[in-house]
Amino acid sequence: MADLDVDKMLEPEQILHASMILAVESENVQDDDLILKVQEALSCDSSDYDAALSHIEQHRDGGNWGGRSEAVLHRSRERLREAMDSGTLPSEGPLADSLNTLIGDDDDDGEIDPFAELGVSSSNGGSFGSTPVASDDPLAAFMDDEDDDDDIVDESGYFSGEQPVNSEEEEELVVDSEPTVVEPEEEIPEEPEQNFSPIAGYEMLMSTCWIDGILDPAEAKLLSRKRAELGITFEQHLEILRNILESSS
Amino acid sequence: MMEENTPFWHALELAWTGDGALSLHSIRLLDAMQNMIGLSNQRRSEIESRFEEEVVYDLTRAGFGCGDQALAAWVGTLTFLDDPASQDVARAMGKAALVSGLSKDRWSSSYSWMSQLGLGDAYAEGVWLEGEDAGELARVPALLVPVAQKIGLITEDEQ
Repeated sequence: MADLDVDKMLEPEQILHASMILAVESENVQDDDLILKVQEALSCDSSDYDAALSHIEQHRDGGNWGGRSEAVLHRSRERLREAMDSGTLPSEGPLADSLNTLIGDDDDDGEIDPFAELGVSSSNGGSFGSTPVASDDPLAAFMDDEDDDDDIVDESGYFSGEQPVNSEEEEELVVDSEPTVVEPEEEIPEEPEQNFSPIAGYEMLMSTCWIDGILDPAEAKLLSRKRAELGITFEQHLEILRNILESSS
Repeated sequence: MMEENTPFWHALELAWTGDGALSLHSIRLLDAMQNMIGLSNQRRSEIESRFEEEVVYDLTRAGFGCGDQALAAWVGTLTFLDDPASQDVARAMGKAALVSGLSKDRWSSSYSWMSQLGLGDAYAEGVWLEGEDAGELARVPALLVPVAQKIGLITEDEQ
């Protein structure tokens, strides 16, 4: 089955990345240490964390993920579930409980229904255009409707919000290819860097950190680290902060 | 800087709200405070004008300005600013505020408050984990009790 292949395919970095995406997009999960625990459970180092974080910053698009936020979140949940099922992450205990909270119930979690957004009823499994849709996969309609060669997963095995979702092709890759996400010869060319200035990127990250209304030590630590990485002075930080507060008031 | 989130606004509250009157002693204490914290005349007038509109006009006089006693006690704590450790304490307080969870409003009001005392930079560094690691806040100095209450570090019962 494809699921087993997916299990083999999943790398710790991908699982960490998936958990970070869900944590960033979650409004309910407040556990600051959760990502750190996941990182430890996966034996990922800080460079893995930084790579995943950088990737999220590049592609998050303010939570829009290039218009495919539902697909990205759905796939992130799948990855965490698979990791827990395969024993890569614990399926019992406090960490598992936190992860289950993070995963939530994406069938009925109050999030945006892509079908409803498109004016298509998803209550009976329905269909999208002339393409039949599996009733248990609300994203199948999007996947069947895509006909280009791009994939939601980039060459690093991370999700990419800019690229269209095409789960069929991803599954083909899983079944037919080596246990890597993308074969080397089929590597997608490096995406053109978004023209985010460090300041704009930092401002976006700061807005994200305060999205739940409360700044906590983990977020402050993250911002401090990013200031050092991006060469942003503390004075610039305070100026950016002032702008954010003025625009939100 | 929001006028109501400043130490001078707090001083005006102490002076006025005891019995709805301002004594001559309070006026002198407010002058002394203005000099101690280096508050400009323009900024003081902005704060006082706003305070009159927001607070004074709604007060009913019931005495001769007994608030000067509380004000005198609090203005006396401004000597804390001469303490070489005041910046370190402000930094530790920033870190403590962060640990307790800091909303945008609380950040804005507390940073405004600390800035008027010349402690804004150190406080911000503590909140945003900038520079050297801030130490633990052993106790809140009397001068900073009002802002510590604003950000939920202490309750009125803990004064």
